Amino acid sequence: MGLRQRLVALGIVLGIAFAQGSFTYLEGQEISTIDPAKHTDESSLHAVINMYDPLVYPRIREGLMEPGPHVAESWTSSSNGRTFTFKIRRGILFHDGSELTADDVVFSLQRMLALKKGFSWLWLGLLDPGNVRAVDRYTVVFQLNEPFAPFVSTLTQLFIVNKKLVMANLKPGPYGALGDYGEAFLANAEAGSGPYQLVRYERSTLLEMQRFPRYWGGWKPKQVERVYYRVVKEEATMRTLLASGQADMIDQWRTPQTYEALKRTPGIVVDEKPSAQLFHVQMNTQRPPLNDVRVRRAIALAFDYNTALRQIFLGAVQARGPVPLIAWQAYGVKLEDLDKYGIVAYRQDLEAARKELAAAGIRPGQVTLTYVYPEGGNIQRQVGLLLQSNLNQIGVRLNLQELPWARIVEMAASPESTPDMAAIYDTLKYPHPDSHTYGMYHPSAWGSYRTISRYSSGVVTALLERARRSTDPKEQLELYLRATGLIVKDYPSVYIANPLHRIAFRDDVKGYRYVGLLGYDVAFYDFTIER
Amino acid sequence: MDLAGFLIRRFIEAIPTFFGLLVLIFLIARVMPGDPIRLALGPEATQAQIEAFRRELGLDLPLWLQFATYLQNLSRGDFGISLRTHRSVSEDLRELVPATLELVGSALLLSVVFGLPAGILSAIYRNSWIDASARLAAVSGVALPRFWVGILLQIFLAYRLGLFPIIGRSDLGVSVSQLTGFRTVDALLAGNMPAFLDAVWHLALPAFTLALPTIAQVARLVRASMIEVLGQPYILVHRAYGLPPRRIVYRFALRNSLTSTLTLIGLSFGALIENAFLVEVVFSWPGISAYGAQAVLAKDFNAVVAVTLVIGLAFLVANLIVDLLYGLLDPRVRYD
Repeated sequence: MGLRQRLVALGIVLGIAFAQGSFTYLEGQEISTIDPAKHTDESSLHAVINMYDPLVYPRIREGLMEPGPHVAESWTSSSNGRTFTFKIRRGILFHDGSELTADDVVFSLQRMLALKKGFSWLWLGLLDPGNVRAVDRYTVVFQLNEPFAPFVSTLTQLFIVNKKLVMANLKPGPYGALGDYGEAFLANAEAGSGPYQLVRYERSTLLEMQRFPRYWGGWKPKQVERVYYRVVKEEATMRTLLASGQADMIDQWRTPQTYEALKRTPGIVVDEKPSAQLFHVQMNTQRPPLNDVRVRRAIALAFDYNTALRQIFLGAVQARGPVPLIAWQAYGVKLEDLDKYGIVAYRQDLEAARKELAAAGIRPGQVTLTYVYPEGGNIQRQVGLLLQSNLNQIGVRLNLQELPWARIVEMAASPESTPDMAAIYDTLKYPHPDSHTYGMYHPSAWGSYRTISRYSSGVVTALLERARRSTDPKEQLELYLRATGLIVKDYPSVYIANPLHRIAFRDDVKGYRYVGLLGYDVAFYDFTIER
Repeated sequence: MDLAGFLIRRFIEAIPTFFGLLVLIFLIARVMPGDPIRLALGPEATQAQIEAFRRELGLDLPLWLQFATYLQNLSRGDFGISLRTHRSVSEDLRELVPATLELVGSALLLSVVFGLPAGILSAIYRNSWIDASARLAAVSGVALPRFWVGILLQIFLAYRLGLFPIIGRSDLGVSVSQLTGFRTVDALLAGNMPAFLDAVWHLALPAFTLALPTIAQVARLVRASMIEVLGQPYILVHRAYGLPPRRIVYRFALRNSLTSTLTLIGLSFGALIENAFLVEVVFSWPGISAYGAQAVLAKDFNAVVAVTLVIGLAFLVANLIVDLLYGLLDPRVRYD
């Protein structure tokens, strides 16, 4: 064997050794932070989910998004819905070998409340730092200021950090004896107990993790042992890497056309499921003429849903109101139940649309509305063009305005600058219908891009508040359903689609499962590689 | 005036330029449309969260006070906190600037290595097939969009033929302790030859993609000025004396035609940093240009100011170096 052949053989052997159990995931967006008190976007969430353990975990292995036991083995709540007691699992080890205890849970939550970043909005005002207590080494009690129905669901975002390790690495900062609360330390290091340990973090290109051998969940053969989470911003490059086998999976943010092309590529699987995402065109209910429900209904009746779903989204489930369908299904609600509450899909009827406009006293050509959508938002632009031509048929003019996302966020903050209409994608953040009802239609939420419709109805507000306070799960669900039914009848948005969630990976990757929650589908611990 | 005096004067002259740039970009970054706080905290952020963050960043203070605080921090090398990465901008830049400089430096090197000979050959063998093909290549080099060329190179040379890596600065298995942040330099300092070759191998495609238009410009400019110089009477005199053509070209013609090329290369340095954006995106190169673009989109004002200052500084330094090189090339230039 010549030198050259030997080198080639060596290369192959090394390549295989290198590839064994390693997994390369490509993501288009930078991992802006790995601090579990600061993450808000998907890529940061991926980092956190894989290196930390949350108090409760969605029951993904059963195909459900409801929370199930994880760090907390079990929990109970008091009859008034304000006190929750969690039993912590014994024997969970942090990556430095120390045991995770109730103290760490308390510290993690208090840290989030103090930093006021990331997902802290879930608990600010609801929980006072002093009302989270460790009763003993394995018991934590949360005392809420008021009952909050989705509380346990929100704890899927409470990731437990290693108190001792953070305290040993404090820097001076604004939190008194707690210094900077470990902000500087956790920006570049991790202090978790999750299945993977941090190896390298170069935030604009690479996150490398390797398995934590003493993970409490244990390890089986063929699981992913080493993860290269790479940031690749160019779609064509992503496709090249996946097709060449240099990557095992690419993220869910590519265009529908890309996934269609990948479906036809040998060796690649595209997983498609209805997402827990809502695409809708919000209408500003505070400004004439859209403050008249008849005008809003006319617009919803004019839109051509079939064309949008088939030709723009290339297959999607038509939205029925604000809550993504799979979020209802996770709570055992069937489509017939939704019908009963009036949670139905809108449909096109131009004749009826014209009548509604006439009833509102609007003549053809009299009204011009503005539709804003984010820069580079191809789907949003196409929907805008379709809506423009539909509205033209009933004599309403629509101006399309493409704006930087930062500008749309700013406009939504005040009533004067909020646009007439805006095309928005809205993703479920915690596994509960509350996210897409209270979070979008309770006046306390006004000011963000989720609430451009600035909807307010006394009855709906009261129902939503009662729903949050309700402690009986059946009654609670009923209240959310009733509120949603009323919202659908008020047309604050043109509800268009629950788009398909698409993700592409090599066909030797097994165990991928999407249940509808942002980020939780990319838990590398769940994957095996059948090479 | 001597060289030292010249340097001091240029340095003093640069201060108002730099300060003007700072004031301008500081204001622009703060009045750009968009609400950075809400953008950073996400749509569900409560009013309490928004106010706390605004205070933390000092955005509740009047603008002049914000500027004064900024200057004070800047004097300590502190550019403030990035809204996107939640850590100090200086820390971000320390990782990103060497990556971009390494890329841009290599691109400049390639521009000279490829552009100069192409231009010289074109001029000497004027109107031959060599000239025609060099000119065709030069026109294409300027006209073809960088990201497109980058993707094509990636697909054919990297993916189909497997000659180069598709993305990144080094192989995932390679690690060298980072002293300077320049992968090639760090590898050499560590005496790690395989890591050095790996870094060069990763640099090749992105640097070439970035360099392409500059190579083309250099080639065209060298050709034009060479033709002009070769037609000068003193060249004719040298010819009449019977000097070998090689000596005439390299000793006399080339040297005299290089001053304009040098200006071009100096100016290209700054432009290349800006243009590195598309190349950085296509090749997943962790550089300052892509970082700056993201910062603008997210209205990450501290990062925007810092990136602009760094690029501005690069421009100033590059121009200074060009001025110094003039003196080396052309003895008639005096520093006064």
